[in-house]
Amino acid sequence: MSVIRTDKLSRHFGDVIALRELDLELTGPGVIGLVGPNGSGKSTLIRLLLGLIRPTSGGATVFDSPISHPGRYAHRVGALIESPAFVPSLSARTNLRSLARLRGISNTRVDEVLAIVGLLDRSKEPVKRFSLGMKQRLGIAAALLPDAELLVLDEPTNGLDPAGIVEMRQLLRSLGDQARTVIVSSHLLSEIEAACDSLAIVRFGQLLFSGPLADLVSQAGESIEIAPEHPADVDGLAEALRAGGWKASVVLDEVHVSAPVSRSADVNRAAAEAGIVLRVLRPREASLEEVFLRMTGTETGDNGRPATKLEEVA
Amino acid sequence: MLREFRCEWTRLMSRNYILGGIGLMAALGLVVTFIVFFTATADSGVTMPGGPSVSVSTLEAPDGMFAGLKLASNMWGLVALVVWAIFASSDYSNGLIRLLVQAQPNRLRLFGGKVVALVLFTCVATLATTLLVLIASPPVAGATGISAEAWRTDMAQTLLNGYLHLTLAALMWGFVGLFVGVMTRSTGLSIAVGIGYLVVFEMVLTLLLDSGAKWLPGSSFGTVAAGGTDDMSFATGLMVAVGYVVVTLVIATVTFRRRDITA
Repeated sequence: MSVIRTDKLSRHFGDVIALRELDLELTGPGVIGLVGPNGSGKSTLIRLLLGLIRPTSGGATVFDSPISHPGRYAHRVGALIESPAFVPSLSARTNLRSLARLRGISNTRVDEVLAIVGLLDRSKEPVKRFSLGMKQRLGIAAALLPDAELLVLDEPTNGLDPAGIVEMRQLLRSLGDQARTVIVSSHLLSEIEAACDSLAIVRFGQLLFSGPLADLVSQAGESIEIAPEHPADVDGLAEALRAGGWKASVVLDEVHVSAPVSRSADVNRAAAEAGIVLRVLRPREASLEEVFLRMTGTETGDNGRPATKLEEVA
Repeated sequence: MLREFRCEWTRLMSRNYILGGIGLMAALGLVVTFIVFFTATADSGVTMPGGPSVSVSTLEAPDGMFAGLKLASNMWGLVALVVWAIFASSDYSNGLIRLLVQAQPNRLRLFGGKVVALVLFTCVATLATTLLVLIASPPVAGATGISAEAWRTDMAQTLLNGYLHLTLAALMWGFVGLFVGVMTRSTGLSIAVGIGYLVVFEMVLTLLLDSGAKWLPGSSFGTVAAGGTDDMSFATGLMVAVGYVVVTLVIATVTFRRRDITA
């Protein structure tokens, strides 16, 4: 089922292009990761889909309804957008009740979602006393209020401790398994890898990849990981392989050779011809992080790009 | 619009708004009432810039118990302005507007619910103030030797008129606060702009314009609160004030409806 579809969706802020003719289709149910370096356009995309801002050009649909009429699908969507936002002096329960009344939801549901995120015992405390992690849980609770078919969660593990992150991962998985579509925007690739079925990668406001995680990792190509018997030989081993036409790179005391596993014997033979005995030779699967960094061309996850100017596009 | 109203009302019924809004308006009304009763003399008494003085004869008139409130109506309205401005701008400053608009994308309904909740809140605050002044005025009049005989003349009508005039004036100040809050999206800035206008800008304009000052927002709101003045009738003051309210409300509504939510 197509949940979200964008058609050449663009959004400019002055002369800065946040989204550039984005064509994207996300299907559900399941947990979908939305990843990209900071400033890649993830939050802009989410705000457009939720009707908080309007596109400069192009269009999009959510549940086949245009984003120009968000009222048609708002009751089917729950969202945590950036940091959780509540009235600090009010209790967690009152904050949620206020939102529940806006959606015409009963107070019983408020207690249900507070229990789901583990805040029922502290629901009478003012939100200003909450830690960042607790506020994050409350934000998730607010997103869960409408029992929505589509959940859009922007950095849901922000501020959570390791145990909270594990719980959140389990919650996301269980929500995805309940015939819901959960879109998780995150810069924590390990979390995306652990919780998501598929993902969309955006950079500079454009789509780099959309599809199942396995497809993305397989796009990275196979490689072979080898290590010489003596660590001191690692540079010599890499040099010898490169001289033989192999694509090899040194990573600590190992050499990564870009080649299909079927050519392992050839790699071993090349090392032997260089007089180096191998201690390790094994197939290697690229991690999501490596693939992501390769695709986005960044090493930190923050592309640090200057504002993309319209004149650069022209 | 009931859902939108209930959502906003739930937040308005917090201790901060009850104490800072209803409590402060009522306390200010009481304090001003005490001051005018204790300082009024046969010829004059307390005055506000551009406003009438409150003498003993003013206090002994049928609507004398409201003389203090009418005199300080702009200061009192300023509290309403600040409450409305804070309520409108804090949605932006704390980011709550994201959740509200996502839950109710029809921003006109959302804005309507907010306005209705604030109007009701202001009516309650004015009612509380009126009741407190009604309870406190007779003993204070007795203690200061001011006759309260005339207060019993058509008391219900006097009370109703006083309440309506004060409520209308407070609402008008509130709408200006709503306008400032929506436009600035900053709690601190909206308070500074509101107070800056009343305490500095309009006072300077009043000194410069002389007789033309009666057409300024604060003066026209004051005319409504007083039920009419020597310079301007209640009906004229009401029309001028409603004009200001309509303009600010239209601008605030269009801005609220169309503006990107990037908070």
